[in-house]
Amino acid sequence: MLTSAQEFKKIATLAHLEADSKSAHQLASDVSSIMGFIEQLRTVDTTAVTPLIHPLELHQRLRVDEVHETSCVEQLAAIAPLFAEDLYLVPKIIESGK
Amino acid sequence: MHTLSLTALTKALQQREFSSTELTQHYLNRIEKYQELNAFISIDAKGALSAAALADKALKNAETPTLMGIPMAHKDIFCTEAMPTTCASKMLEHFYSPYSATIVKRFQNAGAILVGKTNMDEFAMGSTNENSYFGPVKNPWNIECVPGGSSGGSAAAVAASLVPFTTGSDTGGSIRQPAAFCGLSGLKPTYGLVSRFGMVAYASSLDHAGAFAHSAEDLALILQTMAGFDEHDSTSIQRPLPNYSAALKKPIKNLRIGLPAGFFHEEVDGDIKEALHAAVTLFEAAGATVVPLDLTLQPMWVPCYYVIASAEASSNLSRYDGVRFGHRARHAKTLQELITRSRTEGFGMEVKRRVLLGTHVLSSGYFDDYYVKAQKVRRLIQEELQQALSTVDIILGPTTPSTAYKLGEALRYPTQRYLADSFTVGANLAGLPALSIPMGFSKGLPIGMQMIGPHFSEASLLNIADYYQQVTDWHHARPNEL
Repeated sequence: MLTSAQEFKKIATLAHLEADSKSAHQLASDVSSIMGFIEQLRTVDTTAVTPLIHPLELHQRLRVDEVHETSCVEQLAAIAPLFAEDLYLVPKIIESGK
Repeated sequence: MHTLSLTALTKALQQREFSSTELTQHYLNRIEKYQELNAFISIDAKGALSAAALADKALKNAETPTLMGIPMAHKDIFCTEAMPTTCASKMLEHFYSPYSATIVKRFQNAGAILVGKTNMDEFAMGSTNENSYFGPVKNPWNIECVPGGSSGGSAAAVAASLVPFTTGSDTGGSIRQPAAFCGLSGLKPTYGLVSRFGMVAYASSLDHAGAFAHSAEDLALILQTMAGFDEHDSTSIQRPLPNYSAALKKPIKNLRIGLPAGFFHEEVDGDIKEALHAAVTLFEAAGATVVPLDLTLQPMWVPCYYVIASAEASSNLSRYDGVRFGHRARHAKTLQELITRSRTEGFGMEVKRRVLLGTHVLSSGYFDDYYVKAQKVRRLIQEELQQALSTVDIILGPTTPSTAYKLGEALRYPTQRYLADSFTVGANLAGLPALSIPMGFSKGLPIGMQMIGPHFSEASLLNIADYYQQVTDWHHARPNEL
């Protein structure tokens, strides 16, 4: 349960989201309310039950290791917010050390 | 022209009673006239008319695919090279996909005319279509009501006869619930039958692609084009397809109908219960047998669904980081700030709610307690449904506990409205095919009947629905003012 503002902040950080105090309070309250509802699952006995991952129990289909596609840099560059010389541009990650 | 069914329209075009250009222009005029419904996010009139001109040339030949020249629209969750794909989110407001979804290509290759992309709940999260960055969609039966969601624009567009059919996606009921609210036939096929390549992912083990039309007969034509193996979708199933239209008009004399007691609880509207009993009586008169079912795990469907759907959503939506595509926050000083601000600005409240919930259930210390537990309960739910379907041909019930609610009502109680999915999510958890067809009205609003069948039983489901539509007229009803 997201009982504390601190715990909500931790989850929001993991989700790469931030919220002002009003919407943080609303979101925390909503998530807590759904979690309360989800707690019902504990009443089901799942001893020795294998988790169901794929509805048809199929495994990932593998393909032959052959190259089919050529470079699509131009198409990807066209939809990138900031792109130059085949690279996505982001704010500086490594500090200059000064 | 817009009063004709899809099946009738295909025949009229083949017999050259009117041209695809005339038909497309007619629907474009209606789309413009009924803009107030807000059913569309984007329209491509020029592209549609030039495709219609090509279809008219093709229709001069004797043999053309069935859907040649038929206008249609895709839910804005399917990627299209020629038009934006927004998923009704600010995050993808200006996004053009570098490729088209497999089903977009299939309809294009079949000669269908894409006129536009329909409105929806953001990233398919919601059951009212009020969670759209582009504003809510209105229900053509009563514009003060919601059309349902998340494929609300697709449902409203067909209900208002703005196009003869649309595509949709269904993760927990997002085709069947709006089909019920808008008086339409809506199909969610078996998991793996219809390719999801190019359909923006919400919860991958639950997401299905499907369609809306007025009748089961029309859905059979659409499914024939949509279904089939796709090497680009790793969950796509390789198996021969039946001829869905040829499977219609078969007798239903030995049909065994399962009626789960849990679908008739006290919170279900009285009118809905009555409509269902009337439908059951019709099936019995045709020789069907009714078998009472007790699905003891039905109360666990929604909690199980919300753990798995939210967990998968938090993972799938982690790709929206402001770096590679989609919304990017301005003036961020660090990469961390860029990602966090881009996501915070780009996602609406419902998406944030579900991403936070998913992150929580997947976080250290909770993973086994919630996510793995839900996966185990999911197996038990699937086993219970499959066991039931080994004794009956279909599970029948109302699609929803109520008819369409007023706009704004659900926003006041966002988490309570999750219960609106309580009859539909079971089929997604088990990957079973399910459809909703109209079965009456309550206070002027349509009521939907849901049928769930065994894996890959679409031909049989469509035949049963088609039988019902031969002996009833609910699917012919249209909103008065349209």
